[in-house]
Amino acid sequence: MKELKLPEYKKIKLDNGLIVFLMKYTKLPLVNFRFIIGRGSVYDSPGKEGLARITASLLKKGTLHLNAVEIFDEIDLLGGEIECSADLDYSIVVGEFLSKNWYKGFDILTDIILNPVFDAKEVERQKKKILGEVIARKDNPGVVANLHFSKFLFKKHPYGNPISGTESSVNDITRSDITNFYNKHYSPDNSILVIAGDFEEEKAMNKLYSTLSKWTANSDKDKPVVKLPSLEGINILIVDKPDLTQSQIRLGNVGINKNSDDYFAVRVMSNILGGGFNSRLNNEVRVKRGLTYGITCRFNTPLYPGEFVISTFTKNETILETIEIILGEIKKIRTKNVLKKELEGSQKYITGLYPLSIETLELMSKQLTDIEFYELDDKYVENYRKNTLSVGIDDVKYSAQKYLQTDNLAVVAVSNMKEIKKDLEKLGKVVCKSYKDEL
Amino acid sequence: MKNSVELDIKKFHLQNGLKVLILENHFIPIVSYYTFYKVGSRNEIPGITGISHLFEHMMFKGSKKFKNISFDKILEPMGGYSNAYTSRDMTVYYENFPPDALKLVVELDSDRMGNLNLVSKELDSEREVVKEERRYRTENSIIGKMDEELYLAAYSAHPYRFPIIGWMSDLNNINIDDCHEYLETYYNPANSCIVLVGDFNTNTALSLIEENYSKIRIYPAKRQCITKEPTQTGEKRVEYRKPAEVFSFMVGFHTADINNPDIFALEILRTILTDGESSKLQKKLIYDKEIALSVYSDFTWRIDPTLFVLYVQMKPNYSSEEGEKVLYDEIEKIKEGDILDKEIIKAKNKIESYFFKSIKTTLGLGEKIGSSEILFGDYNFIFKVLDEFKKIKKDNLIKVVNKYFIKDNRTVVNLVPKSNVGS
Repeated sequence: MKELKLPEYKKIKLDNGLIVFLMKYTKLPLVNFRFIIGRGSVYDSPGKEGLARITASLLKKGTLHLNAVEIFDEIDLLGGEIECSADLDYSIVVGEFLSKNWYKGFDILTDIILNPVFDAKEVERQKKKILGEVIARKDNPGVVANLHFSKFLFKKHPYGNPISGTESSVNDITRSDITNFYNKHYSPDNSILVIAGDFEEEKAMNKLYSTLSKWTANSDKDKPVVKLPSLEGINILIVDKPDLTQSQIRLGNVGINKNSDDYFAVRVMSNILGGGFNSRLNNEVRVKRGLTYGITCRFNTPLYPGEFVISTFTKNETILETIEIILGEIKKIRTKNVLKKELEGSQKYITGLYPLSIETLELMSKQLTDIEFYELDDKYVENYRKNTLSVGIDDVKYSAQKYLQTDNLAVVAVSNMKEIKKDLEKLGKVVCKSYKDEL
Repeated sequence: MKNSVELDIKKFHLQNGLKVLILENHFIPIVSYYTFYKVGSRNEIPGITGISHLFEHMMFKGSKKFKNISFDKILEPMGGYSNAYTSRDMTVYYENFPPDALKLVVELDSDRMGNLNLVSKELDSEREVVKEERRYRTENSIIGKMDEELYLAAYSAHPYRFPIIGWMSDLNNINIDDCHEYLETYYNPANSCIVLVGDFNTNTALSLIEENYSKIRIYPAKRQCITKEPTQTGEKRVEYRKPAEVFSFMVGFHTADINNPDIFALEILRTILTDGESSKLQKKLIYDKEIALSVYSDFTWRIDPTLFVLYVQMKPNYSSEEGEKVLYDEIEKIKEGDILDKEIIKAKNKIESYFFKSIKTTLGLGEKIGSSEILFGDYNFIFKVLDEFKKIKKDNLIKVVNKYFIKDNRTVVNLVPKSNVGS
C-alpha cells in the first residue's frame, strides 16, 4: 500500500484565534476556500429553528462595501462561486475561483464574513424565499422522509430540528435574532479557514494580516445542552401522502460521533451491512428479490452522536416484506460473526477507494477543517487505511450489538397510509400524520 | 494541433475496431476505467423502450468466465467501485479502483463485452429493480415526470421522445431474446471505446487490453436510427395535474445537433439565462420579482437535434402563468439586443470554471475523453471547446435566440397542483 497523505500545508493561528491552513496544490488553475464558523443549527434558539441557516445565507446579501446585487454580480463575473449555509455543528462559507481571479474572490469572501449588514429588506426577501422552500420541500418524498426521521428519532434534541427551520419558526425569526446570532457566534476563535490550490502564498498572508487578523474574538463559550433521546420498542411513524405508489422508508437509531473510539469498527460494520453494492442489505433486498433500486446504511458522525439510518424505497405492497428483511439482517449481524473473507473484502473496498476522499481541492479542504474542528489526529488521513485494516471480526460484532438494535428502533414511512398501515401495525406502535403537518 | 488543455492522451485501435484511449497520471493511487457504447434510448422502438437501460443492468449479472456471480461481488473485495448510466445517445460503464486491480478489471470488462451470460431468471429480478427505479425517478418525482412529459410532447417522431427508463408495460414485456438481439446489434467492439485514466503504466495496460479484448468477435453492423424529427409548427402545451405545494413549469425548444456550431452560442446563452444569482432569469424571477424559488436549465449536446430546456419552480401562491410571462419577456428582449458585454464575459468565465471543475477527478477526465470520442469522433475535441466559446460574440447570441426561441418551436409542461385546479 503506497503512502497516502495530504499535500504539504501550513497551519497558522492568528492572535485572535483564527486557524488558517494554506495548501498550495497546482494540478488545475483553481483555488478553493473553506471557512467554517463553529456554530451551526444546534445553536438555534427554541422556536427560531433555521436561524443559523438564514444568518449564513444573508452574509452574501450586502456588506458595508457592496450591496446584494453587486456581490452576486461580482462573483459571477469572476466565474466563481460562494455558497453560505449552515450545518448541524457549524456555519460554512465555501468558494471556488479560477486561479486568475482567486484574490478578488478572497476579497469578497472576507468582506461578507466580516462586514455583513443584514439589510432589513434583504432579511424579508430571504425569509420569504426560505419559507417558500420549506413549503415546496413537501413535494419531495425523500426529503420529507429524512426530515421526519430526524425529528421522530431525536425529538427535542437539536439534531431533530430541520436546518432550514419550519414554517412557523422561519416566520418568527426577526432581523434582531439574526444580528444577535451573528454577533454572538461569528468569531475568529471558533473559526477555521482553508485556502487550497494554485495561489500566491505571500498575497494570501498579507491579506490575512491586513483583514482577518483584525477581527475581534467575542465568541460565547456556552455549549448547548444536548440530551440524547432514548427509544423503547419499535416506534413507527407513517407520514401520509396519498398519491404515492412507492414508500420511502427510514429506519434506525442514534449512532456515534466523529470522535468515537468505535468509529472504524462502525465504518466497517456498516459497510458490510449496507455500504457498497455488495453489502448484505443490497444483496437481500435488491439483488435477490428486486424489492428496491437502492438501499444504504449510513452513520452520520457529527460532534455529538448522530443518526444511524437505513434508507430505501419500495412499492407500497412490499413495504412489510422489505422492513422484515432489514430487521432480519440487523439481527444476523448482531448475533453471528461475519466471515473473515467478508471482513477483508469490506476493508479492501474502503481502503482501496479512500484516496478518492482527497482527490479534489474541496475534499482536501474538508479533511483539514474536519481534523481541526473535530479534534482528530493530525495524521488522520495518513492513518485512515491502517485504522480500517485493524478492525477485527469481534469489533464488528461488538459495534453491531452496541449500535444496531432490533427491539428499539425508529421507523418512518412516507407513503399512502391506507395501503400500508395494517402491515406496519404488525411490527410495532404506529402513529400517523399528514405530509402537510409541521414536523 | 495543441489542445487548449495539454493532456498526453494516447489512442490505439484494436483489429476488431475497438478504440482505446489512455491517459496515465499519478496524482492518487486510483484508476478510472470506462467502457462507452454508442447506443442509448435513441436506438429504441415501441415495445422495447427502456431496453438500453435494462440491458445496462444485465451487464452486471455475470459472464462466461465469471458465471453466476455479479460484477461487484468480484470487484468490491479488490477495492473497486463500479456503476453505469444510460443516456439517449450512450451507455457508459465505469469503475474506480486501486492500481493492483487493473488486471482483474480488464478481465471482467472484456469478458462481459465478449461473453455476457444472459439468464432469464436474472432478467426477471432485474426488471423489478428497474420498475422500482421508474417509480422512484418518474412516477413519484414531480420533476422526473415533467421531464418525461416534455420529451414525449416535444418530439413527435424521433426516438428522443421515449423515456430512457422505458414505459412500465415495455419493462414488463422485454424478454431474453430481445436482450440477445440487442446485444448482437449494438454491443460490438467497433461501436465501443475504452478509456483509462490514472495510476498505471501505459504499456502494461495496453498489453492487458490487447490480450483480453483482441479476440472479441465482431457482429454485423448495427441498425441505424434514421428518423428525423419534423419541424414543429406550433406551440405544444401539456397540463400535468398532481398534488403539489407549488406550481412549476418546463419549457423546451428544439435546437441543434452536435455538428451544428450553434451549440456554442446556445451554451453561452444558457449560462447567461440561468447560471448564478446575477443571471437574467434568477435575477428577474427570484430576486427582483420574488415570484420563483428556483430556476434550472439543461442543454445536453446530442447526436440529433436536442432540446434546450428551462425549468422554473414558482413560489407558493404564484402561478406558472406569471413565471412564463417573465421568461418570454426576457427572451424577447434578448432578440432585440439586450445582452451586455459583461454578461458575455461572465458566461465565458463560468464556462471556463465548469470545464476545470469537470476534470478535477480521474473519473471526470475519463468521462470527458470518452464522450468526446463517442459524440464527436475526436477525443480531443472537448479539450478544444474553450477556444470555440472564446470566438462567440453578441451577434451570434442574438442570431440563435431569433432562430430557435420562437413560440411555434416551443413545448411547455405545466404542473397544476391538483388542489388548486379550478381555483
